[in-house]
Amino acid sequence: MRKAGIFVLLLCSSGFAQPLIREPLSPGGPGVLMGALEPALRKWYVPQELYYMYGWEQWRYSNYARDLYKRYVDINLQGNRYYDIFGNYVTRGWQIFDWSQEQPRDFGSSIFKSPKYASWFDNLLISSAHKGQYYTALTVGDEIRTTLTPLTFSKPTFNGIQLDFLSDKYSATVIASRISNPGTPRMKDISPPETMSDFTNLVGLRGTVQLGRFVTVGATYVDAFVGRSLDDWAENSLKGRLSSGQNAGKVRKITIRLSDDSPEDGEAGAALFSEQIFIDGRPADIHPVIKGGEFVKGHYEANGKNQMLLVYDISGWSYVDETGTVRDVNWFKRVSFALVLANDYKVEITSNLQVDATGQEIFLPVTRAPGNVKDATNLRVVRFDYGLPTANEIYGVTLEVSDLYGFWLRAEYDVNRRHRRFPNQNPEITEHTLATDRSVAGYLTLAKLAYPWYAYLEVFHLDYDYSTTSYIVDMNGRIFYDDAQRYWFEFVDDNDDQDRYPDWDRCSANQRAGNDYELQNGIFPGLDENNDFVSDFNQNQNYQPDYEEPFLRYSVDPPEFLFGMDMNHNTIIDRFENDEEPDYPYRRDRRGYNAYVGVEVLPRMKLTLGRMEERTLSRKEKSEATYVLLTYEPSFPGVGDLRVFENLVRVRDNIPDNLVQWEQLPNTKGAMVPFEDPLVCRNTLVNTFYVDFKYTGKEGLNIINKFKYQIYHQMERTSGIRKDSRLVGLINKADYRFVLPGRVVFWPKFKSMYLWRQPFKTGELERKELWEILSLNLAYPVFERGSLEFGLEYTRFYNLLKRPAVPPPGYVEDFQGLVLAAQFSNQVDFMGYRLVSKVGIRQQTRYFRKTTRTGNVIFVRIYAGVE
Amino acid sequence: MSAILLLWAALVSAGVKQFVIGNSEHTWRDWGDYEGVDDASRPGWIQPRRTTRDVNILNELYRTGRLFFLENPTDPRYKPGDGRIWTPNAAYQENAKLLMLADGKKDSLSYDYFNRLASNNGVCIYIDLGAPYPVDEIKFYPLLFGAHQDLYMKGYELYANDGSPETQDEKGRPIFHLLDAVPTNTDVVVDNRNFPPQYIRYIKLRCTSPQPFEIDQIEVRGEGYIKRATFTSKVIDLGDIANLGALRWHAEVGPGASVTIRTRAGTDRTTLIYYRINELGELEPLPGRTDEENRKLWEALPDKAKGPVVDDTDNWTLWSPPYSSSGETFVCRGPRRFIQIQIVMQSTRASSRASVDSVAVEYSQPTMARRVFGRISPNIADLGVRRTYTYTLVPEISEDDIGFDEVRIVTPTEALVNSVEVGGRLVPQDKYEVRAEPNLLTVRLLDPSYRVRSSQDTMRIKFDCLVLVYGTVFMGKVFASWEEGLLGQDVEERALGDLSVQGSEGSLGIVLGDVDASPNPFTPNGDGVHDATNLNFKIFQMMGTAPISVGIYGTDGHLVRTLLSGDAESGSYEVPWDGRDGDGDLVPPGVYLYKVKLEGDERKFVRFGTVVVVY
Repeated sequence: MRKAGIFVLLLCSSGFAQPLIREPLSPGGPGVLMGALEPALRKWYVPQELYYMYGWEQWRYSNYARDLYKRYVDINLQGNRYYDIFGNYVTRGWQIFDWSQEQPRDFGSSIFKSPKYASWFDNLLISSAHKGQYYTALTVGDEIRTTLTPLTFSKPTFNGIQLDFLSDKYSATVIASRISNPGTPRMKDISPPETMSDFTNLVGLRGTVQLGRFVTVGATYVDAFVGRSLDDWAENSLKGRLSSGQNAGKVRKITIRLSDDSPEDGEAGAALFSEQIFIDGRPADIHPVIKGGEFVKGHYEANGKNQMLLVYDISGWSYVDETGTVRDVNWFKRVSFALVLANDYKVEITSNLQVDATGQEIFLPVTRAPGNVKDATNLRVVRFDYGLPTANEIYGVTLEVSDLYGFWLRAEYDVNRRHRRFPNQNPEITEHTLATDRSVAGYLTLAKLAYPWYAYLEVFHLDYDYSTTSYIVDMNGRIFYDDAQRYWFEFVDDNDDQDRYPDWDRCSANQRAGNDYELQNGIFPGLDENNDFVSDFNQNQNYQPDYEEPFLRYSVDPPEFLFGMDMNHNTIIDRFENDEEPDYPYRRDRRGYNAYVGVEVLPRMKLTLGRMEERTLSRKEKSEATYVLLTYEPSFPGVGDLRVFENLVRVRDNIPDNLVQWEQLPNTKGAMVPFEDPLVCRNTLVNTFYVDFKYTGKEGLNIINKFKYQIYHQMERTSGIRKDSRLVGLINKADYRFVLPGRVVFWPKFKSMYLWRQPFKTGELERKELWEILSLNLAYPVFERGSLEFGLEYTRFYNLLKRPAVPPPGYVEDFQGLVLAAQFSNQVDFMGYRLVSKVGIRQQTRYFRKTTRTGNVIFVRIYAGVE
Repeated sequence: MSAILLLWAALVSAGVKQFVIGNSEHTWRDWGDYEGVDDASRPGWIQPRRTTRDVNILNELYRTGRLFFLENPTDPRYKPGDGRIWTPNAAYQENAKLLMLADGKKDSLSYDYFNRLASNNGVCIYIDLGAPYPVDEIKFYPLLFGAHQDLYMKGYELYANDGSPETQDEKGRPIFHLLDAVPTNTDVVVDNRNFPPQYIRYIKLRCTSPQPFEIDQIEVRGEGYIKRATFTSKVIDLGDIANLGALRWHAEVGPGASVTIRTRAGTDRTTLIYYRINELGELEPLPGRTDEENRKLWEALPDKAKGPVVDDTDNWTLWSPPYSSSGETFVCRGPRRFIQIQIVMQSTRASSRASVDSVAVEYSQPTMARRVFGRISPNIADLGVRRTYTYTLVPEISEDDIGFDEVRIVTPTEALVNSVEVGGRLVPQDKYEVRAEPNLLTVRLLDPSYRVRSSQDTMRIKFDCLVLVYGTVFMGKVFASWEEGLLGQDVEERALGDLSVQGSEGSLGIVLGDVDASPNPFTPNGDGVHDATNLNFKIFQMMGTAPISVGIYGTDGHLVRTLLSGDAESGSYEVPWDGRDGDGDLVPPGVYLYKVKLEGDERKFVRFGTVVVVY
């Protein structure tokens, strides 16, 4: 039996520094004891623990009158002695982490994490060394922030090991993990390790070399592959092997599903002209049962939502090979297909061995037609082999140029290969035919700065099927391909809010997914500037957004007053977008460029002119825009700060950029809600103008003015879309804090907000309203650290649209509102915490034309904090 | 019922007949199964059922035995389309008790599992109505006496989903949208109408208060037509195999509503195969003569002996694609004896509906043959090359059939007949008549002695033709021209592709080809000899049309004249050029370039060539 594999053994010594090799403690086996060579009949006991540690001899009378009794000491307090594979003494202590892979052997993949791994080291071990310019570190952890490159490997919580090397010019990293089960800390030191016979391992490598002063080149390799510890070491393959669960039968039925890759247009989907199945390279006379689709003029079509299934039953077919032997399904090694297809086809495949937990067949993608062809000019033979996924491999190169004649360049190119093998349980078939799909991704960004000019160029291409997702096996070697939460592993996580928690739920990711509709902790990129995992629009996490809540609405303005770049023209500012895709720098299935040039016209005033084009590869969608951007941020000492933002875009965009956005619906605390791109920029002129001014001339006096004007002007009529959709908003607010004698604070605030919003779609409710809010706060100190606060907020709301005869849902009438609040606050230190208590009452009344609505809240709240 | 039909069919003379459902003879109720169909509100018509506000939809499901508990009900009576109610926050036994929320009984029992110490914040109750219903009110309340009245839900959120596939996630679970949220509820009886009327199939009631609660009843009400109703006819026996003609129907369709009609045809009375698992573990089909009979036999089997129920695709076609208009030909290649019709009435608005008065199928008997199988050879050819094809017709004729003497074949381009053979005998040219149109070839045997009358009378027609599209099907029909009024009979394929000609693999990818100019050079000098040239090209493979342009250019690249600009489809083209430029003047002698450009969806196809002008 050959033993081979990875040995990663980390030990913790008992605290005494000991040399790695210590002869008296090296294992040498028992020897000859000369003292035992006396030819005596009496029983003699070899001196062991009692003799050496406690001076106890069998015949000696124990009297503790003078030499007091010493209790037994647990020898395990100092741990055990450990030796390496050469027999060298390592240390006395505890084994903390061990990852071994022994082949061929059942349950040969073994990971052990001692309970001390969690309790002593909090799931992180670092073993480092350096000498001169050379540094190295071995990190073992459950949540390692690891990035190789944005397109190959990037996770905030990688569970595995990372070995890094760094010098002045060179750097290298190796990552590895048994991603199918990276192990959890055991209950006890003597608990058995977690072993698997079928496993999915991940290995990754990245190396960079600095050439000269400015250029750094790098190479990356990442591979996740299925292996079996029962196989011989030499049979391991980076292209993966079939697990015992995958190879648990014979392929008897294969079903190919053809459908329309662009179902929304309802036409010119998949057109099938002919098909042929090949078994072991031989054309087989097996005709599929065709379900679904329409037979039109000699071919089958699946348009819109229709799907066509080609069901091949290969169990009854056989052939005679060159040796004259009859080969039936028990001997098939390869099944491939040739389909003559045209138009906008999507091909998926399944078999009786490719199922979910309930036994239902699961389709996996094969290929899609590029573009959205409707005239059959792309008629071609599509050939592919059937197999089950065994490995996902990515390799690529990077190039960085830093400040070379003012140029900055970053480029990356990666090739993704997805391997699969044809399963056949027949034990005499040891080599399972391999098939590989290949796709590429790459980008280049180039920037040049020559003050006052600057320029930028980015070019990118990501194939639609570029994938950093790998399947992982379970304890039984099975994979249920549709169960993303349990059976998928991502090289690149979706983490739009860039926190420590990936946004999606994946096995062994040690993460708290934030995209469950039930959870209150959502994902809101850009809207959590204080990084407290709470939306900045609802800091007190109640059922009202802060911009609608009494007293808080003075400071917090509604999201309509946010501004920024929307380069994908889906009406959501890019930095607030959340999707459910890996965080690649560009989206999959896209190709395009963006270039701009600009100049700093005046200090802090920048003018930029740019052009972008982007198209989808598998569909016929395109986005192109020419834009002008002006920003100005002067600061006038003694007066205030001004910000001006003007963005004019001429755009044609029909690429849907759908999202999942955090939304606080009425009377809820917020939830993730699917957002569908309204595609209102198909041929549009978009102008966004924003200006705000913050007065800082007098201390204590705050004056803020904001104005936003945005218009989407449609250059051609589109059914259901307004020709002009405007947003006009104006906020003026001022407050001044008076500190009166006796530490009484009087704080008046006034806010006026005008908002006119014309929705994109005709028939939706338009809003035109004016808010005037006067808020008076009075705080009167009582006791040492207590205060009485009184608040009054008077609101006038004007709905500036003419009241319809039958007000639609959501229509709000004019009203006057009055909020009265009183609160007693106190702070005290209690049991090591600062207790802040608030007792109070708030009454809110709205006077409409015909009705009055009143709401009261009486509260007693106590907070315990550390600040 | 089929005996009456047989009698009726026998009384009618040979010729085109109609089978009508929806008249007094074949009423809707007698001739089909309903799902959500109402035939009472408008006599003689079928339309979707309408709910009214006095009907509690949930209670209705309970009363009719169509409400089950659990997300995956274990009750064997459950069928997709039935109602369900469940909560993931309670065990199996407690889920069973959820049915009392729909029983409509104002008694002393209520669902009290959540009257407990543990926090109920986040507890959900899910309801599946089985189908989208128009809903504008959801009501729930605890027992309305004593201390029970205090156990109302103190905060809740109501969610809904209409059950459409677009609103489901990748695992088929509904994506709910919020109807209303009341974080602080003070109403004992929650009668929520704070949402616009809409089609709802799934309801999620989520408690947002940690306080204990009970619910006695949940009521779901609305007014309007249900979203979808289906009429599936019984198997219609035409008495004998018949050639099927037009499908016609009369319907009224309101705004936002639609009628979708599909058909299928078969050779026996059973559309489904019910299997039983025998003692050896093998599947055996049940022997009943109708689907209903088989269903009863199957349901009587013990659970372990029940095998799968599958469509009988050997003897029945699949359901056809929807017919786009009344009068389209019944989708079925070849004659059949048994047919079935399915009508689906849908609406996007609760206030609108579609209703159908009647549906009729045309058919004719007797047939020319039991079946007529066709085959064309060769099956593979180079696209754009004219060659000889042999069209073979193999009839299966019984004594009830009358044979045929005319064949019509759909051809991609005009065909030229070389010979006709019947039963191995060559038919003299004067004994048959040929009519060759650009897309149709008709051959009629003039001499009755050459008529195809028996199964031995294999007919072969050899003709020259040009194929331009991969997978061109030479569909055919046979006629008995001496019998007036009989519908033609389709030529069928014994094996898929028998009537198709595939392009050779070398032809794939060639969309624009055979481009040349003839005569070349030419002399536009008005002498009547070669005064013009023709730019010839062929477009292969295309479906539909694509923009095409043909232009003449000088050798310096300047455009001399645009000869053609427009849309073109697959075919052969000849574009003449008389040697004049865009202003109408004769061009100087010399070499000119011609460019043919076809803008396909995937890419542009461009061909160049030279043409010489001499005088």
